[in-house]
Amino acid sequence: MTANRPFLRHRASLLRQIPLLAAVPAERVDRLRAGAPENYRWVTAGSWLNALHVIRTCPIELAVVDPLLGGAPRTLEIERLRQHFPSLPLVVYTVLAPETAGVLLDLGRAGIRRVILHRFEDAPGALRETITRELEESASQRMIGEFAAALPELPESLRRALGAMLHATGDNPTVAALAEQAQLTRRTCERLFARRGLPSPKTVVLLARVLYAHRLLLDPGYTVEDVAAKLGYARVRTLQMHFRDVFGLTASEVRISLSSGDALRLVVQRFLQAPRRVAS
Amino acid sequence: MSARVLIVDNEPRHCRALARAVRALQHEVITAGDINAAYLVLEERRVDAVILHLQLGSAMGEALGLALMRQWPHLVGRLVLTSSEPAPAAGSWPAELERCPLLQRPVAPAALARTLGEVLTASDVRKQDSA
Repeated sequence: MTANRPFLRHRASLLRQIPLLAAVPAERVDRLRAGAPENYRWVTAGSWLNALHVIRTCPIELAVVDPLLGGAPRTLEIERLRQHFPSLPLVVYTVLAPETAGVLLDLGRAGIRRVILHRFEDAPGALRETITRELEESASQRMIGEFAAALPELPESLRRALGAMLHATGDNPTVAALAEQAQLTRRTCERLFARRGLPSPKTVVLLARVLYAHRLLLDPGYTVEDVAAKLGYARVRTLQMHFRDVFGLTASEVRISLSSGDALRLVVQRFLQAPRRVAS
Repeated sequence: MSARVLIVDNEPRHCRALARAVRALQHEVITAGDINAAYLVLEERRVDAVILHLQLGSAMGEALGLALMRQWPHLVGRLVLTSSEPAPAAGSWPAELERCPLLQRPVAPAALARTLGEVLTASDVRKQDSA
């Protein structure tokens, strides 16, 4: 056990909590804090302008919003968030009152139907359950699920670690960081990939991050600079270089020419061809 | 016998030096400076061997090497890798990649001639065996 201690201590320092946006009145932020799923933390926004800034620059996985954020009930800002960031799961968390009833109907017509009502559905356990369920629809979870399907027999711990690497900081996350997320040594991690006929873990992480960047760029509200900031790239140039290496195109070119399915197919075809089965 | 050799290297100076050395062996040379260009060549023409630099672009040469052998099976055994970094520890790569000869940079023309000759000869023998 003693031998593991330095490893675990180092690992704990690398774990990052993934941010969720709470654009709700201050008095309800504490309830959200009590209901945060493990490994997630809340970032608060006190105005719609601030909420927009947080969404564009932080690796937000989900936004909880209240039509009463600015005082008077409004739907326009929430509908705009949906139009500009369709990949971002939106949960409405508000009070049941005559002034919000019409707003909720309007939001429902706009396709925003996930609602948590204060005092009725916001016990910590219920909140955590609703948010966890919505997080399964986040852009990163969906992308990593589809990407992992192209990686033969990858252990669940490594699949989860790959998902976590989408939120790692720095231009080139290391194999050591991936291994530590999966609670493996670097050598074991490299061997696991090699035995499955996969490229190096470093390359697979890079491919996952570029695919995630592309997925975000399909949202009209993000610029390439926003996406670089969200993925923790220190320089936009590095993200552009990765796009060129993987797709042979700039980020803006890939954005208008490839759907998420096209991008995944291209990556699989170019870099993740399955080993040929030789008949015995 | 003359062969068609594709050199995939993103450093023009090294690419030119390799191309000169391979042409001196009476082989036809095609060069590609990035992954895209390599795919374009391979989709249009059949090549007999590939010399691939591992630190290509975002160090994705090994991923490209694997994918090429799987997409164009006739390239198995016909891939020569070059690297400016030390060879990885055994077991770090899939077996098919570990079987590829690896030349450290700067590549000596004699070593290149010997390795390319072995690759092309071994491939010829295998082809005759399977015929």
